[in-house]
Amino acid sequence: MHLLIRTLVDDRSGDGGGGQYGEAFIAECRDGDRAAQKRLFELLAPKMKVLCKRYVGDDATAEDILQEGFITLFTRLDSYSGAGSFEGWARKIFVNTALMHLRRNDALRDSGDIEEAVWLRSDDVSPSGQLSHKELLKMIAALPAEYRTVFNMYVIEGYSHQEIADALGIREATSRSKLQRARLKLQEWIKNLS
Amino acid sequence: MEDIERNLDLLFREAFADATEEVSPAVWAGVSRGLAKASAPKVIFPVWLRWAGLSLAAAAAVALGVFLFTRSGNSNLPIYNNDGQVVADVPAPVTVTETEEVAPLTGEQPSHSANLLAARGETSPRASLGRSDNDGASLGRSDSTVIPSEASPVIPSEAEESDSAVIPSPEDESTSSSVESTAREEISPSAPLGRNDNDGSQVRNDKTAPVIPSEAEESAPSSPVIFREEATPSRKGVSLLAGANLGGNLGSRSAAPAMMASPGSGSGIEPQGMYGLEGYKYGLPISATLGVKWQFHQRWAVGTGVSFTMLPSSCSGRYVNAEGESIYSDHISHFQTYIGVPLNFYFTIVESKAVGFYTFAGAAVERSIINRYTFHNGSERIRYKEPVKGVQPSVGLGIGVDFRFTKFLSLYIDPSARYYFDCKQPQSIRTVQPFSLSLDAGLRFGF
Repeated sequence: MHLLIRTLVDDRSGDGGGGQYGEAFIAECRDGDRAAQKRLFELLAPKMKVLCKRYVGDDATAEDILQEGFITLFTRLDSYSGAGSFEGWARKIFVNTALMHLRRNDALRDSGDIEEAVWLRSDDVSPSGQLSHKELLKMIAALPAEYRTVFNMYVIEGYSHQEIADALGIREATSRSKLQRARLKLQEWIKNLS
Repeated sequence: MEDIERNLDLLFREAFADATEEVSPAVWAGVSRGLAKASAPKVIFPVWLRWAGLSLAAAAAVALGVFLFTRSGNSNLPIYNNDGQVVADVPAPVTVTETEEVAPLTGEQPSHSANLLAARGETSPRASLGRSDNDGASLGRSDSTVIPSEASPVIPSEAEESDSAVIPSPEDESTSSSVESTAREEISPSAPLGRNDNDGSQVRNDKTAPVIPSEAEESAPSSPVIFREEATPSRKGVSLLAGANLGGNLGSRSAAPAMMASPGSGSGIEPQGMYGLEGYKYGLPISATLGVKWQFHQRWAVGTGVSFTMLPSSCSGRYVNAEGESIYSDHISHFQTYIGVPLNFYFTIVESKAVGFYTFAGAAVERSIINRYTFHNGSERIRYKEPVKGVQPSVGLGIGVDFRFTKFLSLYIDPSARYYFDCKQPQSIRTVQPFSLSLDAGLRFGF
């Protein structure tokens, strides 16, 4: 199940290792062609900013991580062989960069249970009644960092609890517990909103 | 319940699937700056410049040694009269026109060189001063310029050094006994007269054979004279070295987060390897060396051997295993060991029986044998070994002092500077700070 989700996440870009991130294009970026690198940045940055924001909550910090992640991506581009999804590969770099940031700031330390958070106003909800990613982002941002991280890694990125436990240095059971509590809180908030 | 969870997950997943947000132009500006900084060539001197610099440094060290040596062993040999006054300086002979063993001299025996002088119609000698060669064996060089005479004893100068082998005058014998005793340690009573040349040869003087000036000192007063020179022990041969090295450049140093991975892999998942290593703290580099040193010349020696070096450090970072699983730890022990072969050339600056000063320069090539990361994750420990390709060359130079306890055993201390070339080795104090100062110390066993 985990592998299936992971594959879905990795192939979400649909580039299949090529597509808009063709080999020649990646090769140009790898060779340091600044124009190509900028094009790649323009393609990826808007998506990756959402990813970063999911992990850190605020816009300014998300852009700091975005910048750091892109520098890492371009300098590590030679380790991408082209065999898999480029966007999936890139996504991992940004997830790792975000995790590094959270660790540096000691944000992943267990802060106890989820506190009641400042909540959405009714005008945050889209006219159609559907919650947009912005509303959902606000909800996620309202979660404590360790809950937010586990939720993001499991639900959106598709990591297993074992992987999350290894990456965050926590027990697998703790990962499950935090995910469960995050889900419950999000459900509660969504219910209240609707 | 599961359906609710599944729906919730699906809600978030779909909402973020193609979600985008506007990115500030400042981000690309920052990325661009960061890339420019990352791709900027390190301030690494070109190879030729490095070698030129090292050659200059080595030349300077040798020049310093020569300078110091020539100061201690004056090339202009002073001539003394009976009053101990310098009456003339004579340039030391630099060429050997004839070499021949001469019999030990007694007061009235003419030497071979004296005969030569006599044959040339010059001062009739009764004895000659010979020169010792590099290994200290006495020989009577025919170009000797001073001939001792029993009738004209020589008074040591006030500046006489304890190592100098001179002939005291009978009336001053009591006051110069210490000088004489030192000289006797170096001189066989039956040995021919000799003196040091600039190569540091040993002095040979016969107490019973005072000196008179040779043809070179014809312009000097006719009173008897002597050359005063220093004696330095000759130590040609092979010695074994066993020592240890403590490297410099201690301390904590943060480098840019490293992302290392085994080359050749790579797919949608990150390749196996170490990622985001940062917050490096370096331990004391320690080396042990077993070597051999060959003194092939009075002043020159070459040494080589095998060195074993440990480079401990700690950092934080992430390890991605072969299955793509990521493990983070803020306590990673990074342990590296190298085995290497140094090659050094030594130049003796000054030496005495008890101590010797020298300078040295050389190169070493080392190869990593262990490059191990140990993750401390609570009580769990995960070890990952990463193979290292290539070698780590370095060049160094330094000065050293050799304390001689016995003829066969001495203690050496070699402070030195070393430069490690950038050869894509794993991060260590050598890669972060390639120029290092270190201190070697050990024992030398002579044969």
